[in-house]
Amino acid sequence: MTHQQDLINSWMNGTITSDQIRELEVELSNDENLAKDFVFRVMMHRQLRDAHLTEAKLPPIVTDLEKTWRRRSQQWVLGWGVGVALLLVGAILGSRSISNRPDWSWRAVASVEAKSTTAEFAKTLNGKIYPGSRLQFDQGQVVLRFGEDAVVTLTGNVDFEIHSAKRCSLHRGQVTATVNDSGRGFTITTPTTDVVDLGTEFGVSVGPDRQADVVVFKGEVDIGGGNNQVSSNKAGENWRLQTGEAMRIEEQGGKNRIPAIWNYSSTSNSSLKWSTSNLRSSESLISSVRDNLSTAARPKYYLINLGGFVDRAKCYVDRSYVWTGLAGRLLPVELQGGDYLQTFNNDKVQKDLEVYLEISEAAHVYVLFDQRIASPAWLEAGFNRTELAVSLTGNVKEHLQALSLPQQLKTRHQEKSNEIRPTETMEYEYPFTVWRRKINDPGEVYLGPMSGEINSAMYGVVVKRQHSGRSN
Amino acid sequence: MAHYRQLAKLWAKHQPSVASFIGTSVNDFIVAEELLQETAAQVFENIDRFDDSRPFLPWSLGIARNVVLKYRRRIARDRHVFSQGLLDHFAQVVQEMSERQDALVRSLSTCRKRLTPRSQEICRLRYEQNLLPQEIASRLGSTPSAVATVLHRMHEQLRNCIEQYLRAEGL
Repeated sequence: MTHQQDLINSWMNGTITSDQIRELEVELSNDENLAKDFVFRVMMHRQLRDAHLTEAKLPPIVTDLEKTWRRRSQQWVLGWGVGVALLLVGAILGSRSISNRPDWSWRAVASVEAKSTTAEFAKTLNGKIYPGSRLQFDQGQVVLRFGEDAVVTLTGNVDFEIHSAKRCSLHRGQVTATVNDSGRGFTITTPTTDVVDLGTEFGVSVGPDRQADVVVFKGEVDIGGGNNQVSSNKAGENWRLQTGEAMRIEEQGGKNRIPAIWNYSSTSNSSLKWSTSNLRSSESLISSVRDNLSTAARPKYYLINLGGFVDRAKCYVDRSYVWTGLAGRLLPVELQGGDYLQTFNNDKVQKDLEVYLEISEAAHVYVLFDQRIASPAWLEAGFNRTELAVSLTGNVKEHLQALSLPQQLKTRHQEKSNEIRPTETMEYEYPFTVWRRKINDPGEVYLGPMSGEINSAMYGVVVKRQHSGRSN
Repeated sequence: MAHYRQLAKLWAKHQPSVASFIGTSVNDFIVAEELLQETAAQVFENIDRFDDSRPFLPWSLGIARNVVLKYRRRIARDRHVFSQGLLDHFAQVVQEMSERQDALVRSLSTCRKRLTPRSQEICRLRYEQNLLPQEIASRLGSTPSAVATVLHRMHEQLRNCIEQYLRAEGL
């Protein structure tokens, strides 16, 4: 097999890389016969797909003539237009011998995996979702599976429309999507912007004022395009949001950082029950979070996990480390079950950082601080060090693999890591001291910066209701 | 202005060529089918603009080209697509090869029957189930490279078989 053939095969097998694409492009541009050969092979490739879909009694090609004719028919003054259109579509479909499917359907693109609402949906059949399906319900939850590509959870008061296996519209409500690599490009259109998945877990919500909140829990998404081009940046490119970032797109195109996400799931490692506003003010001790960093360049969110400080709770929005007790023990009882604020580990180098928490009622605020570095003045002035301690725990292998530092720094970092005694599960631990402040009245609490030391980890914050008998 | 029924016939005749053009632009079946659907919608929505004294294929390829370019803008940072210049060239080649496309459609069914049962099964998994070689290998207990080799040989066999038909038809 020649290298050229190899590249073309990779293209047809769906395994080509972006570098190979560039290489193939050069080859195809410089060799007219190769370009013709490529087009011929693609013709064959496309026809093989069509033939197999026909044999599987699936529509060979998704040309939504019915929808087109219907759209056109709305423009016609005379009603006979609808009849002619449907007759024509019927004739075309009939000639393709598609049977056992409702006449409005083409190919099921998704299925209902779970449903906690009594609502019935149009254009669904036996739990199968067809292009054009529109799911509307006032409350509850519906989980849709798009084959192996994506799982989409609809929550609350929802109006969601499915156009194809890769494109949906969210008119109202909240969606959380987990998309595999095979589903890359999965797009959710909102009234203000398109959200294009790049292999990730993300959430979108659309409120009554039609603004779209986009939250990335893992991976990356592009936002932009759609009906509202102003959501793109000045260069006309899409905005890319990464893990731990969230943005609100207003109807007029304005973009704002969403500073905090509330997670109502039972554990802090789940992201399926979330909100960009404090919906349960009576339950959340942290009513808001803000910091002094710029909005546009840093659209990161703090994640507030209600009751989320449990054993192996995730430490940061941007890392996979977890909290454990020291040397394999459980977390201190005093902290367990508190509301936990996930910060960003990368902020350990922000020397001017100012974070403000709004505490809604009498509580204790605990700061978990890296024992390897000296405690800063703001911590010593505002908090009392306790006898408690916790561990930041990470997987050694994952940690080293994730390092993208220059080789010299990486080596230093590895040497440093080697000083840490690995646990039985090949995890490493960094001890953290626990600092406490008693808050008697609702109000704001200031948290300052770390020292900027690279071999350190950012602090975490636990907030817990006051119990009688504690003095500070 | 073309009659709707006439346009439907023209579309049915040339749809495989338009699909092939889109296939040169996007190698994901599902995305390609979505783009074809959008092209079909725009072809019918713009029927009033079609001059039926002119050939249909270049006109519909022009619409497909715009649909593909819009898609490219949507995934601006994804580099799994060819440049606009090369896509324009593909549109030209697809037009030149439209007669071969028709013959390919006619001959493919016969040629497929000559494939070995294993090739047919791998072919089915690739084209009906839209599985990648790695997924096919996992399902059959094979290796991705072995599956890729079978797919390559199968494509070569089909290509040679179709070429025989084309030569017999003087194309």
